[in-house]
Amino acid sequence: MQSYFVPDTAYDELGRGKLPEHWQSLIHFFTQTDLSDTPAPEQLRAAMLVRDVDVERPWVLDPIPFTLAPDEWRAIEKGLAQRAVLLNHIVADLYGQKRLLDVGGLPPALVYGNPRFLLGADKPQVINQTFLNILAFDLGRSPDGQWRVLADWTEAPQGLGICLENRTLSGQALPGLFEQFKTQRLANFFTATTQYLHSQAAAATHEGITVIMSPGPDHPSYFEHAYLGQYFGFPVVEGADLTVRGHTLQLKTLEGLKAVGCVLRYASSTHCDPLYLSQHGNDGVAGLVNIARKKHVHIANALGSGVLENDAFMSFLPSLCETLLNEELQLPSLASWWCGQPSAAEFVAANSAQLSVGPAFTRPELFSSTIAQYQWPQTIQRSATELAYLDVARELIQLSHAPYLDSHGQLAAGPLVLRLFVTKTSSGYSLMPGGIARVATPDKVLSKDIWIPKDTALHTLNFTPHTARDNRLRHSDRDLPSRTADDIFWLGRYLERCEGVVRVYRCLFNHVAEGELEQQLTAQTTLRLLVNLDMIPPSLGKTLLLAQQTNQDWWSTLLDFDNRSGLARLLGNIDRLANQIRERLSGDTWRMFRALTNTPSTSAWLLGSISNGISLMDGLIERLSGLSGQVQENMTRSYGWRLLELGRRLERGQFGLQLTSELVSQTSSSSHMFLLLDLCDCTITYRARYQSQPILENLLHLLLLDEANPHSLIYQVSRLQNVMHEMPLDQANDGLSDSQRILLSAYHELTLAEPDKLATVISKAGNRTQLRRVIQRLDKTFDNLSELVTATYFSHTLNPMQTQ
Amino acid sequence: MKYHVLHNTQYHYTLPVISSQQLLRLKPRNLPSRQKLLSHQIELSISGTELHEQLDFFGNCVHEVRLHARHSTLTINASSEIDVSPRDELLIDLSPPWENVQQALSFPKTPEHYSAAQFRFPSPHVDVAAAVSLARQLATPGLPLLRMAYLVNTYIYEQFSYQGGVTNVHTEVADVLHQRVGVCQDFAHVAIAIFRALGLAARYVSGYILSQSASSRPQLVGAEATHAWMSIYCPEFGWIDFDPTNNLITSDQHITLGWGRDYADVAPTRGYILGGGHQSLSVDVRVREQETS
Repeated sequence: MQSYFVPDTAYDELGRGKLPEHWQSLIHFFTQTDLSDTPAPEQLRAAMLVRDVDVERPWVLDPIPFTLAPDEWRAIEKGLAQRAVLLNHIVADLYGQKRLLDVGGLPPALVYGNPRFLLGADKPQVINQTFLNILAFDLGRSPDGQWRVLADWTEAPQGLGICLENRTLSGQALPGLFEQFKTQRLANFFTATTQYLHSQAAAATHEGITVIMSPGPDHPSYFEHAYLGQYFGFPVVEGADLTVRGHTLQLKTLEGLKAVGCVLRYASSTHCDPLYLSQHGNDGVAGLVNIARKKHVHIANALGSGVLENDAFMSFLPSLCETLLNEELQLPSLASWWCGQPSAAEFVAANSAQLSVGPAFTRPELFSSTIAQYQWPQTIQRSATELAYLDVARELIQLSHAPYLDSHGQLAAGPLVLRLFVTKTSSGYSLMPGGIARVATPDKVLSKDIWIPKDTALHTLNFTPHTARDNRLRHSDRDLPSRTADDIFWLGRYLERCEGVVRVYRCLFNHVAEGELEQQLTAQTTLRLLVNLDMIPPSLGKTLLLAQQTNQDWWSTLLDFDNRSGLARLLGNIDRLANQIRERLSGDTWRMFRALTNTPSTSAWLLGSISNGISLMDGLIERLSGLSGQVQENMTRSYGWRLLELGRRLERGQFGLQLTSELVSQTSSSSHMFLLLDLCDCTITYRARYQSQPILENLLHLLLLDEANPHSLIYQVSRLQNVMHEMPLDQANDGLSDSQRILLSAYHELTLAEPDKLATVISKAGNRTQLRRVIQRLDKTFDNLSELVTATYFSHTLNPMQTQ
Repeated sequence: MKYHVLHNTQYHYTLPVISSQQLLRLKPRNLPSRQKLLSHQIELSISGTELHEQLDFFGNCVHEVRLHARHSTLTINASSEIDVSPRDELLIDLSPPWENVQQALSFPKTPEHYSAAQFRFPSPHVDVAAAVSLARQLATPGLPLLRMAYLVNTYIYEQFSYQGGVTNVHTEVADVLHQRVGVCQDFAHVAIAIFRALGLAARYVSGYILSQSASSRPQLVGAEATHAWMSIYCPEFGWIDFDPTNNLITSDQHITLGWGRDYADVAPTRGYILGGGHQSLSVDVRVREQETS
């Protein structure tokens, strides 16, 4: 324990050599194993899991959990529940009755000078007066052993997803220890949260669903929204997925509009309603405020609740607690001096060297706040007259130190901050029996799971598991937002296109490798095909054709993965779309997507070698096929699956038409036919059936009309018929629906075609006129279907804009 | 004086709008003993419109309009009949020194002062910091507040030129101060910024003025659209409106629609559309005196 050092001035969580009881089993476990030479297996395992989850985490998880003595935990639990009640009261008053906004209440500058007090969110009616559903608190322990609240988070607290992830990792890494420690589970906390949100939703609107509103995949915490969406079973939506109609908030889904009763909000208030809450920007749902104000949707947390997320307010909490709750504030905050009061300003001016002076109404984003900022002064020398309501000073705190495993596997100590979560349940505010602990090391901040052992004395505060479970079957897929549906459809198209293009590249490499003269001709046809498929710019296509050999330049022109064009762009699109629908993908499927899009960067192939080029393409095909298999075998036959299938079938049909048109719609050599068979993955089938030099008539039959061939056109059409039949909103009042009509005409076009005529009717210029006509008509049919799908299901996905 | 106001707003879009939501602040307020709304109606050119009436934070009437029918033009006609009484003569030199008012508002001891104090802070269109040096230059110590307001009003009237098309709704106070050009809305924002920089309470008023008078009254600037001016809070006197565009204290030629911290709080129309391509907006306001019988 030589590396474990706690300064004399700081509190030692491990009791300064006299190990407290609640730490004994944990420390025993981590010191018993000889960790001096090799990192602990648990640590390796944790690191492996972190990689596997593939999330850009703000920090690394330390294998040693943090824990607290039961009596201390109980005190924190009571203190934070009281604080949640108090903060809820304050928000309710500021936006409702406004007793605090009058003489004898809060100084006007504290509220009206705070840009996060949103006048547009005024006078809401809130179900059960629950303005704050989920709150987070940052806590630190001062040298005297007292826990202090460093920050209250009331707007849209982040970290629940990280909590769940940390728990999964630490539980998996240390299963024995976890059980032996009798660690309290987090599930009850989340169940209680869900149940309460559902009850709020039901109170707001009949059959109202609950959604998570996220700022979208570009937000740094999006993975958390996706994670929680999966965990809670709530659709993750963005503002554009929602609309207000009459007195209700509606989600635009594949099945039309659906009432939303509750919004778990991860977008900040000013990004929630462009009409009422923001001057610029188009984020959010226009008119949301009005629906919330009439109690027809519950918003968790209420719009504008960020008004309390600042250090200026903290110094008023003790007196507010007495005024509003008639109680003493149980958990003290870090002392702060808001310079809107002359006495505080004078104190700050005289003592600024020992304080941290900063902006009163802005705080660093969650988690970007460093532990150091609580401990070291930020010396801004200013006079009392210069300090005003926009300034606040905070007391510096020497944080307690907690153990972590350093890079040598040794126990070390660093300053500690906790983030704890409180949720509203049917029986009041309850603290999550866990949370996130952060420990600063000399070079980074580690994250730790918090383990709280089961405490029999605590049962009154523990959640009572509900016997009456929510038995309504939740077809969350039926609430598929139109925008997500759009993404899935295009993901299907890009996947299929990618597979087609990769086959073309592979053909090219194969023929170049074989190197014979006639094969070189095929290679040139393939290059032209890549140009026509938009993979290579026409100018470069010529360069590549004329090149005598495949040198370094030839390769980097053909496959430029830094340039985000061609194949790289296709893979980039797949990556982007998979990201956007991430919460709807299983862990396995997600990993396969990652593996696919990372193939070029992870495969150790070098430019300049044909065999490496081929193995890259083989790798891509393998992963694409793996994904197809995963989707076919493991994805529920839900709307999501159908949209993916729609996209794939449409693309495969049109891609096949394009290849046929490029390669055989003019008089062509047998090498073209071989190429076509190869690109459509039909060579084996053809050889097995005809065992001869290709004859166009037979080939066309196989590629267009053979219902048993999964690459034939007629196969795509009948798959599309099946899938469209299962889609919502595709019913006609009488007779055929539009999609059925379109597909039936394609089916007839194909069945009535005569392969011998398609192959043999040739114009003077050498064009196969009948074949061309059929190809054109079919291509148009596919276009029509694509437009119909877009208009029926994705039409609300336009970008909104503001008027004056 | 009785007025009839027709306020016509037209949107034209190059592509059809699929849905549109608007916040309208077109219904004049009632002011105790100063202004009475006799009748009011709003008509939209598109049927099947949802119209929700509500009061905002400041007590202004707001209509939320929702249109779900496809359209490429939208006309909003608001018509109001208002009776405005002239303001009693103000003995502005009897108002308290501005420093006293600043003190009283910093630590308000009455509900009225407390409520006025909300208008002392920066707001989205009023960057108070930009006006600090000008405010210090104009604030003669000991000057009665309303006298100072009068001087600031005149200062803006004389030093800034009224010119449309140079500024827009997003123009910042600092730019107006630099260019010394703008329209009524810019002048109101500048005046408000000056007063707030001194720790005083100033608010933005949106309304109409009578331009073409049958009588021999002077013709006023800013009548082709909605007009804007500023209002300053003075203990004992209440809220007194100054129009820097016309260099006067308002009386019965100004019709108040509503007020807020700045333009953003009381924009007559504000909307959000899906579709639409390029848009153009035209506004026409007609204020007519009615015969008093």
